[in-house]
Amino acid sequence: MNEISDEELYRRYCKGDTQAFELVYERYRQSLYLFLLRSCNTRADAEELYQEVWSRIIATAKPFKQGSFKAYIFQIARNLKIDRFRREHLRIVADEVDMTTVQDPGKTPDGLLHDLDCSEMLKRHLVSLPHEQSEVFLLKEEAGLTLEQIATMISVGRETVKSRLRYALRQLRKLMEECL
Amino acid sequence: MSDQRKQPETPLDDHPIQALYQTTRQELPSAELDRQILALASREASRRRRRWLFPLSSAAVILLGVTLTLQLVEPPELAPESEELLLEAPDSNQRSRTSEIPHKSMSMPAPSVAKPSMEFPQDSSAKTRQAPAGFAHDAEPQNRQIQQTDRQEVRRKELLQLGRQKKDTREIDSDPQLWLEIIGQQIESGKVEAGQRALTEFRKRYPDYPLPEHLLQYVE
Repeated sequence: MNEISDEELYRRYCKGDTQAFELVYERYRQSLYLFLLRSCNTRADAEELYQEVWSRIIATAKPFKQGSFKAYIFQIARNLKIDRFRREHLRIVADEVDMTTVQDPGKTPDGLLHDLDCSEMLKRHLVSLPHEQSEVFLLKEEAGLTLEQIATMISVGRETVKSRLRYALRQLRKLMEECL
Repeated sequence: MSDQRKQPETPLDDHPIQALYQTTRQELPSAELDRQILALASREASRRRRRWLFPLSSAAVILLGVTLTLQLVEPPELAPESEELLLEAPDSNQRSRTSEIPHKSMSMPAPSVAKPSMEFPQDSSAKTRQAPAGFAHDAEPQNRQIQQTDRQEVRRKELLQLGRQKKDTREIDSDPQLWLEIIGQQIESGKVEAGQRALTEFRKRYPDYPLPEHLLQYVE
């Protein structure tokens, strides 16, 4: 079942195969959650949006003929996120720091602390970037979309996406200099 | 996902930043959230399955009903064209054939000609057996010629005979009452024009036979 494409799994789910949905859910569980978490104000907001995105996918359950499932769910996530921000006039700020989640047993305590600091720094700097830049960065890093897919999704040209990404990386590099 | 990141088409890849970003990817949705979403998906899937159940079972019942009905009812009525062929008078039938070979049929006596023309040819030997002795000698080459030049008509009549399966046409030919009954049925079934033609042919064949009242109005 692991070799089956997302689109095929979703098509099967549309016909009532719950197991197919579980598989596709497992594939996008973390990336979708992190995309929303990095884009939202709080964890509660991210979780609410996360549930809303999946509810939308479940309720629609109509196989699409073109495009990828990945682009489809991140498009829904982005649209819902924009709707919410517009509604509530929210500003993207840093997510809460969760000190308990970062674990790597192979690192020394000093190394872990360093990584932790750097990770947290990166998360904070990421949300401090202009929204257009952080969005492109997250769609590429978290969703794994290509520049073309991102360009289509946010309705801009490929060069614009490249430019935004370049600015984001340059800025993060500068801000994270001590960690690199 | 990781494959796409390694693609060389993105010259903007900044490996240290990306590597560092990967260390931040630790959070997961809560188990409760997962449970709620999967339960919702399961409910929706079972609802979707049930949605197919009614149309599917209805279609199966309809199909079964139609199949049983078709098996119980009589064989379907013949097409009007075939019906006409069946009821076509022996003389006219013969005329159509004799138009192709007039010099032979002209010498035959009318009753002898009528009989074989009403009968649907099955094979040439059968035809020869049913025809009078004098006729058989001349009829055999005639039949061969007819079969060659008029294969479609012969085939249609064969099909008609198979489809009818009620009475042999010889029986109709020799039984005016039966012929009239069939004409009556034909008119009742709405094939008035064909019935009238058949009635005309009947009148030619049996000019003195009394017609039932309900058929008199259809005499042309």
